[in-house]
Amino acid sequence: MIVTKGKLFAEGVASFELITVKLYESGMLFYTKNSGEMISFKHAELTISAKLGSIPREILLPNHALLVMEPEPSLDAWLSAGKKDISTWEKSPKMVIGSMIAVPFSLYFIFAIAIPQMAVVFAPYVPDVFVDMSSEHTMLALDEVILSPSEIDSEKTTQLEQQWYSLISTMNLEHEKYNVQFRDAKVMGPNAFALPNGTIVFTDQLLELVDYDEEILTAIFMHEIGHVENHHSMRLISQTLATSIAITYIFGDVSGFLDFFASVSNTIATNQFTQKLEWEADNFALEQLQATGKDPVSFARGMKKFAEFASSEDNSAFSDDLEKLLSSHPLSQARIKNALDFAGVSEEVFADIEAEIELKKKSQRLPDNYE
Amino acid sequence: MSNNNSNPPDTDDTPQFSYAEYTLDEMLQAYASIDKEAFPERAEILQKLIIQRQSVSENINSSGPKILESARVKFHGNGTEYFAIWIVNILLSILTLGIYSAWATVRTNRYFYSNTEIVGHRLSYLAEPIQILKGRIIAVLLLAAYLIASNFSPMAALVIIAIIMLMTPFIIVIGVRFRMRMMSYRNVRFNFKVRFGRACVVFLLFPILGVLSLYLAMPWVLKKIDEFLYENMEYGDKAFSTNLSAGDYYVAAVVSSFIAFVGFIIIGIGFGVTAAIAGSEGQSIGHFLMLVLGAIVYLLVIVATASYYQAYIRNHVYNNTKIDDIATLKSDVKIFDLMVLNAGNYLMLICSLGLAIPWVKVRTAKFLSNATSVSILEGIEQVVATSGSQDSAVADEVIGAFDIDISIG
Repeated sequence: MIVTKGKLFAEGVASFELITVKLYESGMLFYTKNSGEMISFKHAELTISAKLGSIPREILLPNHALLVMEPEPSLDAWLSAGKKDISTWEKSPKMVIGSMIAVPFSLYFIFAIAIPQMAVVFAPYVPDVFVDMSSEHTMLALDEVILSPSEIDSEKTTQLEQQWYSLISTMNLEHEKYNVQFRDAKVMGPNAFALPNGTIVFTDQLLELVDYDEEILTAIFMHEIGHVENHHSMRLISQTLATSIAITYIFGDVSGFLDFFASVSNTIATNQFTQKLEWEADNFALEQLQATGKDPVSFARGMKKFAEFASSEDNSAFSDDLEKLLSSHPLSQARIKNALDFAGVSEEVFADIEAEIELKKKSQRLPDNYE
Repeated sequence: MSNNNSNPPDTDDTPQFSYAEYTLDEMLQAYASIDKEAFPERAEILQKLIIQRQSVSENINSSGPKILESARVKFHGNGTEYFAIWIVNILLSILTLGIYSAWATVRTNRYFYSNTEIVGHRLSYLAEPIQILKGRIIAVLLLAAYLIASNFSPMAALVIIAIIMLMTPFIIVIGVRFRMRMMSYRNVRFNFKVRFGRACVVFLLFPILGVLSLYLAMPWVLKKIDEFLYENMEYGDKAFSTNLSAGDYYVAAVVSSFIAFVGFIIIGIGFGVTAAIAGSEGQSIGHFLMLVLGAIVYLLVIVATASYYQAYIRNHVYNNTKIDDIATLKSDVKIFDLMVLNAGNYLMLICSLGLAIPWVKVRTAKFLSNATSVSILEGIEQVVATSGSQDSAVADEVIGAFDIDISIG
């Protein structure tokens, strides 16, 4: 028999009395009220709140009175009646240390492996309705905000379009869905991007940057097709979506500060992920260029133009490592090297090729000057 | 010689001392009928007694019900004990793909409520994990709807934001009601009176007015929000009452803006000076160190500003809020101490990559408990627990269906 002190709070009022509680091995709980009334209950009739840390044990009695007792091992043992609960894990050093190791690993598994994998599997099954709607609304919004109609001679753009449409008709893909657009984008600068429904947009600034070099533009066009063919937009959307929801769901309970940690790691993870997508699109472009009899080196030339443009724009003080971590595009140098390796061309030969093309351009440019 | 009115009758048979046993009314009558010229001393004594008695009876009237007991709030939790609970619960939440997080929330809240001792008794947390889980699923569905919509169509996202904004008063009110009803003290639950109409005014109309006034009215709006929250709280059948002053909200807002302003000027000057010194060198390491230092000072300014506001408003609200006949509250958070606490918390969190969260939560709870004292009044003997509130039965039923906390936190 266990004899212990308890506080008894009557039902419906805030008054209480101090009582002595007797707990029997047979599972009976017995106490005498100060009025002399003797009361007993069976263990099965009690609503016992689970053991937690060293907080007082609270027991709701069938008569709706609340009995509160200081926790002691013998009392805890009587209340648990041999059943184990979570609190034994919360007290076990093995379990605590195990959790400290398992938590980072399981988080890594969910965010770095499970969710991206899920995104790959589900992205192709996003209904066309959503894909079209998403693309159309995005295009509308961009046209409204930062894009304006192309100011480039339509003869040039039509020529590029026709060349590309006939090129993709020879490739093994749904060529009808592709649709090339040209826009003036003073804010965005030289860029090309693909919407998931197959709309591929080139900015006037990009055309000017590469000097209307058809081979480079075709290489970039192939890169953008690579994004569409691999469902990159949908993968990115489902990945970010699943990650944000998982973070809020799993960490719903923790303070705002961890939210901050989570969102920083999310940004880094997403950037890593988009870098991966860029690599995929690069390799798609290189393979397709080769397959259609074009020169993969033109991709390297395009990247070089971008790199030169970027370094003329800003001289940031950040180290390369930080840039690698934070930028969504892989470093241009690595991409140039990747393209050259694919084409089997050395850096020196690449330099020669470039010089030769420049020379040719100069001689061609004389008759028609754009400035 | 100073004879107290509560003293036993004096054995001395000098007549003037027996006046002390008179009631105030009797004294006034005796004073009116006495022959002041024949007995000037008696008249004077009687007059003094009357003045004394009047001030006593005024005191009784102004002090209200008698205080039974006063004490500082004590927090018994322990950072290391809570860390073990926290980390195991996070692992279980991850392994069950988030389902266990509802149980984890209940355990966390129980840990903090039951370790809080107010005048000799602990608080209790009564929510069931299933209620938390339901609320969390609704919240996640709303979030997912918003995220999906915003990824596929900016227009749809705007519509969803508008819907969520319109639902805000409803969500806040049922959330506060849930949290109050899940808290009990001495086996009597707290409650929150549901007033949706007023909630719409306070949480939608006022903030819009605040923004339209270029934030000049914002402190007043924040005062109205706090007033709404505290005035509708109940303990058993007794209401909270509060007497907040907009002036104090303006003081808090103006002073904390001033702290922020001065802090940012210091950062600006610091950057200017070092840039001028290091400008010729132009080294990237020095530049990087500057950024780190700037970030630290920036964080400190934010901590100082937020701590000032938090301490000032908390003290003001607690010191002007009471539960009629049941309890009065007092908060004396020292502004500087709170700044030190918050700065320390950030330092611990950054250095431990978040692993210090349990210690941070426990030391914050200890600090705030220690800065709070509660006086229990004699009315607590009369408080009666109410199952619902004074709302109509139908309203209560409808809200009961939503007896969940639609929140993720």
